[in-house]
Amino acid sequence: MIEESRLPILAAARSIHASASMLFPKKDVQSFLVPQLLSKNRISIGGTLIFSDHQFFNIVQKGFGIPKIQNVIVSPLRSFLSIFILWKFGKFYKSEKKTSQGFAYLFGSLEAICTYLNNHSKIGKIFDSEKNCRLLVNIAGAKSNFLISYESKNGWSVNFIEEKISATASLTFKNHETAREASLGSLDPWLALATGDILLAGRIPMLDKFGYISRMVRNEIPYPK
Amino acid sequence: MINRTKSDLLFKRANQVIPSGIYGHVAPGAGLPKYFPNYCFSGSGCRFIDVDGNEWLDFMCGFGAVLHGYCHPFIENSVKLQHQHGSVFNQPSMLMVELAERLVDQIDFADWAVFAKNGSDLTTWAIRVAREKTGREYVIRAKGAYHGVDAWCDPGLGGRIPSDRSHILEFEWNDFDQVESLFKEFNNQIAAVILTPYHHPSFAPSILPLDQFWRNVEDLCKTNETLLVLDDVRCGWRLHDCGSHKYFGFTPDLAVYSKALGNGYAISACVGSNQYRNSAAEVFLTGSCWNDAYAMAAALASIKLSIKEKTAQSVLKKGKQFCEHIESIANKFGIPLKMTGVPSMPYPWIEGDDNLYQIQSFCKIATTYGLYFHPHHNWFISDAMTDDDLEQAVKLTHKAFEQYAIELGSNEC
Repeated sequence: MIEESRLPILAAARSIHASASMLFPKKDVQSFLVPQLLSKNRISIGGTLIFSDHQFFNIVQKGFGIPKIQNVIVSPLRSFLSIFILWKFGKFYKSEKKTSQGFAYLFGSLEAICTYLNNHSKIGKIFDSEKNCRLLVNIAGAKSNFLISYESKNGWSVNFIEEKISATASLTFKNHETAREASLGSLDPWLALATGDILLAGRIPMLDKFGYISRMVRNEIPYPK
Repeated sequence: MINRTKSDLLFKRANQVIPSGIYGHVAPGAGLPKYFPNYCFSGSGCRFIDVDGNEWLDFMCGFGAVLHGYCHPFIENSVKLQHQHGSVFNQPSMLMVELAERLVDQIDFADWAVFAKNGSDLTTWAIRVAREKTGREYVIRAKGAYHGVDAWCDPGLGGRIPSDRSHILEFEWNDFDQVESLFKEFNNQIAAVILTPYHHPSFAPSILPLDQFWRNVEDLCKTNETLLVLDDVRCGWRLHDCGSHKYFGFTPDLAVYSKALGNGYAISACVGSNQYRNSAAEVFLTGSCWNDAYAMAAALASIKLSIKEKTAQSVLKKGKQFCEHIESIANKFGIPLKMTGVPSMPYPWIEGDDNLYQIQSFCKIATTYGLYFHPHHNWFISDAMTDDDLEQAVKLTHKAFEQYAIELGSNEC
């Protein structure tokens, strides 16, 4: 069981990995950002690059953090590549112009939400009765969607799917920019709902719960400052 | 799309100064955002005008708060008369006594009445009266039923702690065996069973009580000296002019009314028999504006009107007529619509539409014809609706279904 106090770190790291997997589709590149929580409040990125939780927080919020040097010395090349991809990802994240990449941002934020759904007792309980339901998250006009669903083996997961499928409810962002703002926590959800920047359809109580959970997660995990 | 410039601008202003802009059941996200107006300007009879000047033929009646129609002259005049004297004083006005007498006269089991502003004020208070009377902790309610905004029952998620509901037990509506099992499991620990006259949850079809359901629940409560609390907030005066228990043929121990009671003026009432008078006197109850004489004048006028016009029978009849028409129109277009619940407050349910996509699409189209049909909540039939209004509503509904059937067909292709 993961300590709930460490969920913000794990969710942020998984979010980075998910977003990066859309930006850098090659599997071997993605492997350099696979996160794993370690004991003594440390987190491994890509297997060899190890940070204290505090330093990883700094990376997410300030774009700079100091890794544990001894691990970098043991695997310098792999650690360097992880640092390089993290740096590239950081550049993307701060870029104002990459608004067509709404899916990459969305994937990251949905992955963070799934991390909480699977590991946070209160959040898990709120969504417990939705285990037979499926939620589609998409961007208006796009052919692809994200599907959030539950399997007993893996728990809640988010998958990028190309085909048109039915779901219990759907949440549609008006465009890539809206999806980006929502993912960065800068979209006012109430205003977005009223103005049509976010469109809801299907089983509203499930969306109410999802909205509540996503706002809880947004308040917990670190964001770039 | 209808013009909604002012509605949207007002919401933006609101969102700056009111958390979430508009909250609760009237929040944009709870209805049809970008289709329903955010703000209303005026209302008369069974129609209202939004802040952009669009006129709506209304099937929600202020979510049930208005029974006789918006700005009913008899009720408004009664309130105007009280304007000469004032609303809230250091002590209650004499209207409070008159209103209590009126309710005691009209509701067969009632020996006393108390007043507040909102349904929740008194559903929660009624439970405390039951706890005071019995010295027990547990309360039974039906799963999915709405009893108000307090932490023991609200449908929201925020600000709640596990102990808020640690003494609330739930059963599936109509499943009497489950109720019996709860009584066995929590022997001598159940203070009250609180129920609505029939099951009218949001996001799901309404369910009427099975033949013996109420009789069985009433008997079980009596045998166990548990109070049967009727939450008649939504149904009150829409099923029967003397309380909805008369419609279904049972007798509760306490009953709570609000919504239609004041025809749009904020007032709620709880009535009970002498057996519970002392307990009621022991449970603290007050609010700065709860003695509001305007709302009490409105309630007195509204009740008088209900008796004179036989309003409950009237809205049931109008609702039946409307429901039969729209079911038949829907079926003509191959849409298996069923108006569930009682005809004066029907809930629209399309068979197979468990996730509500179809009813949402239909209600969106209906807005373009000026029909205020809610996709997730039971509708309310206004007694102000005339034959001409009903005829117009049926014609517009026909057009809406016609368009919906075309859109449904093109989506299927």
